[in-house]
Amino acid sequence: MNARARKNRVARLAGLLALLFTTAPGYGVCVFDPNGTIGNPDDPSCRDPQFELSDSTAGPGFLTLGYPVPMPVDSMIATDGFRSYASLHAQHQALFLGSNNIQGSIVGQTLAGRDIWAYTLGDPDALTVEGQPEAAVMINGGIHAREWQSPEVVTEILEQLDEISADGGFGQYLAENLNVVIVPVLNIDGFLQSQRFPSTVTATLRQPRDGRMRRKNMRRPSGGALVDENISTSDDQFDGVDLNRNSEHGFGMNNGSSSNPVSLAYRGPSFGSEPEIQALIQAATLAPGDRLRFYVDAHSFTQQFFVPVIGSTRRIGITQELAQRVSAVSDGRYAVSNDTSVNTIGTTADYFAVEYEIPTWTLEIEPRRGGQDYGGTGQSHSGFVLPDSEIERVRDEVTLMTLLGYYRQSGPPSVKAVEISRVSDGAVVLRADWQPVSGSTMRELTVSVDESLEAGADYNLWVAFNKPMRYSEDGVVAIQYPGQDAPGIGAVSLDAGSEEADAQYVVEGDLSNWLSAPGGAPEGYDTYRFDAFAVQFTAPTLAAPATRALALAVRDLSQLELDANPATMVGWQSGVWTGYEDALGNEGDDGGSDCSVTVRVTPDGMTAAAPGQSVACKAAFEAPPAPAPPVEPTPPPVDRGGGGALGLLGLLALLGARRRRL
Amino acid sequence: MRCEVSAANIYEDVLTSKADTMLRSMWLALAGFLAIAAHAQVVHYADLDQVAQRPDVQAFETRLAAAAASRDYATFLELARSTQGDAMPDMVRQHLRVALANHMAGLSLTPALMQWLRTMASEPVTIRVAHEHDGRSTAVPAWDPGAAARHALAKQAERESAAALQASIASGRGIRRALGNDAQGKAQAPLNASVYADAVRGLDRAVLAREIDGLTAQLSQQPELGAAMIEAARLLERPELLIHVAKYGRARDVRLALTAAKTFDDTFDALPMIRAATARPDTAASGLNALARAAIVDPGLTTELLEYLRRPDTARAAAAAIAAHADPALVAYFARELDTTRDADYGAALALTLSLMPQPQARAALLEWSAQDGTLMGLRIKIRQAYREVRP
Repeated sequence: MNARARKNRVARLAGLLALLFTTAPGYGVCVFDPNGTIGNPDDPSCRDPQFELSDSTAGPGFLTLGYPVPMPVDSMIATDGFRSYASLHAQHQALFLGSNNIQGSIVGQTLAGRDIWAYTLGDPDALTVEGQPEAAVMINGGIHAREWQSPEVVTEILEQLDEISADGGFGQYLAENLNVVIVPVLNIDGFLQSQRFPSTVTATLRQPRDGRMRRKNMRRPSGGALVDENISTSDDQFDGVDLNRNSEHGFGMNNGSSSNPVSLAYRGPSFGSEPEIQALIQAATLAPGDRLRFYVDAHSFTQQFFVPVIGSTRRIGITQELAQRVSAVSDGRYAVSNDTSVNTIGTTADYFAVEYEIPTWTLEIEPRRGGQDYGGTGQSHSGFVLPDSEIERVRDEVTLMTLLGYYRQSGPPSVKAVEISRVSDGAVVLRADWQPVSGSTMRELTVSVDESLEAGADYNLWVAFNKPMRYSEDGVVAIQYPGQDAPGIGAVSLDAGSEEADAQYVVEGDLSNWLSAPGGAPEGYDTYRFDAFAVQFTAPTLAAPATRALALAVRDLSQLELDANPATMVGWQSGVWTGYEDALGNEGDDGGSDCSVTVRVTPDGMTAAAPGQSVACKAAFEAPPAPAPPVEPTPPPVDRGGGGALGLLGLLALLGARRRRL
Repeated sequence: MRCEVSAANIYEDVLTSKADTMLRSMWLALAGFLAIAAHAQVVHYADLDQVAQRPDVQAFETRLAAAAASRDYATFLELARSTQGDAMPDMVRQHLRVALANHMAGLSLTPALMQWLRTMASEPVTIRVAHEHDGRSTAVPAWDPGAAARHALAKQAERESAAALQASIASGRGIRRALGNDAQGKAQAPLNASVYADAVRGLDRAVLAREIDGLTAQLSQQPELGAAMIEAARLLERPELLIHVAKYGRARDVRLALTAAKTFDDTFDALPMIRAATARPDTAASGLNALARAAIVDPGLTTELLEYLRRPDTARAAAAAIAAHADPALVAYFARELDTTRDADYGAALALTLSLMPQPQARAALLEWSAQDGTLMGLRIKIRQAYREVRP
């Protein structure tokens, strides 16, 4: 045993003895003020006790979890446990140095002088495949030291984005059309302190502080000194700034933080005072900032999204719908907390919501309640100590959720090309392409072949979109993204634009019509796997030559509707979509059916209709309803009991069928 | 037929099921919802403090700790029964019942105490405490007596499984049969790894010595026996057995085995097990860290360690291990290698090593190399851009 360990053990024993003889087990003799802040931080009976986290040892001096206490693991790959900071950082650096799609930047230093790194993922050109500046999203991890779930999840996102960046489909689309900024561990000093003492906490079990339960950074309130790394020097253990209260917007407001340096929510002397927060702001410039469309700050626990409900109604609507879709990936187990009574309090989610006018939230990773969710005792603060056995599943689930959010915020889908060919001889009778106009945000429709379809003859319809529209786990079979409900190929019809019963000739298709092989029309995808479908149909029998709109009501993986007017590319400005039109041509945030390509149908032996005729389509008057959001559990509010009833019903419905398998 | 869904019967199902981890978690969450669904009283933390500091509560807990230490089950039962009924305030009763259950988790329980816990296991959370979480007010369970009881029961079930396993092994069935099949010869579902370790820990040393080959053979088919093998190596004082853990055990047990190896005397040659750990992707980092530590004592191992930098499957882990433990004098070697290599993967591994080394001269060497034009230009440019330090 080295000297430090010996000293720690002696101090711990002294603390335990002091606790045994001076106070009730578990609670120490810390005195709390009405705000929940420790009022006697200099009292040795409050500040000196140390507690050991244990699997099943109970009694004074122990925080009994009911499962093995997680210890930091040296592993370069995701494993069944929590990686040490050294391993996480080595993995980030290895990915950065070894991948063409990852860039790294030092965006600042911690108080102790450690480099804070941000990584950007995306192809080097920073342009979409249509030559537009890429949208950007950002995620921050490890702002609160004890929330070990966060750096693991954020690192998993980095790893998976890199791993799937050449998958030919969903992952490659993200790599080539989006810039992802990742700060895996912001509060490095605090994180290291919590990993240095993975089974030790101090002060009181009501509000355990240093060691495994350090939340804040290592700032001492005066003199520029830092909290030292020795947990037994207890005079500094309450110190530190809560980095998630140190941002500009809402700083010191709405009773969401404290000016008392002892408080867990101490906001610091001024906004942006902490170098870690300055580094985070610097990281956003890598996006670059004017292209940011989404920000997430990863925390634990309580399994929900805290969504700042501030700013324009449209942005709030976009954020809420985005959160619902992302939550649906978890079958609604992540609740969306849209608390309009909570204003900005200086969190980073507040900062990005206000400063950049983008959807943001504070992601609280599971558990929902605490260790009891995994069969543990549920003792104080066990929610911060997720069992080793759960982290692999949690990493995968939250990454799957997050990537759907990225996909959605990369922009709504639009039709890219349409081709119709005769089944009998393969001859192309219609080919239309929406092509970007160089140097602008416009597209123009080029119709290179435009012949009439013959009533009663069989044709192949091939339609390509500007993004993958269906997901796959094996690269072959198209499926919906987990938790989403994008039907088959959507609603496709040849539309006469009237209300009459036979005015719409429906083209049937299902998930199997999405194309997994390359090659373009008529049987391959266009740019990304499942960005196109091909379906056979018979041209309708008509009494006279007619022009019909090819009406496409297709939703992407995240349920976003088509940009009904592909001529204006969709962008993002001041918190809302731009150039995103519904079927009536109204710009907004919902999109609609695309009727931009017309098809001429001619009864045999009759004269063809003139090309280029414009046709209104029925879909313009009757957009399909959006699917209902999933039922989700709601966290119990403080002011009324019995919360979570909806969630209970959802879970019962979800699990009812599975129970028999137990 | 009436179908009842309650916290109690769900927990009963889950605790006795073979459900996978995710399903188990979901069920436990559901049971938690059921437990919390009852209209719960919301109190403040100060109320909890007051309960904990009551003299009668402290006296109770002193007796409880003494009873637990001396395995005095009669006193335990008396204390448990004293918390029934309405004789004490509800908050005090809940506090004491949770303390009782937490202590019971570490004891072999009598049938009466088991029955007491079973009754408690279905109790819902009835008192919550107002709690602020990241600026949002919420309420969390003040006490969760059901969770504490269920945990104690689960621990008791594990102890019983371990005892049954011990008895089966000691009866002469052979450890492989005992671990792989039940008394009727049917294949058994894997038990918690700690159960196997507990079973081995309780075996007579002679029995264990007789059965060790069987345990070794079974480990190659049941990775969760790794903790049991570590226990066996310790009991039999045969550290060479740890190599089987390094080859076949779960990653977490390999790490424990590498730590355990350090507790044996200096004559034990841990290198074979370290190399075995290094050969597995999921334990390469742990193995290479151990190798790097060994190289501090035996510089002759440095050459071997450096070889791992050239192998694509181990380069990253080797870089991290070298950076953490290697001689700072190696900085010059890495700089020279980086200067001369044309192999992009090896170059990235060398750059990674220098970037992770804590010595200032390592960073200086990396930046100096990247500042010059030459081979591996893409890597040089990346590094130049990354270290173009941005101070806000």
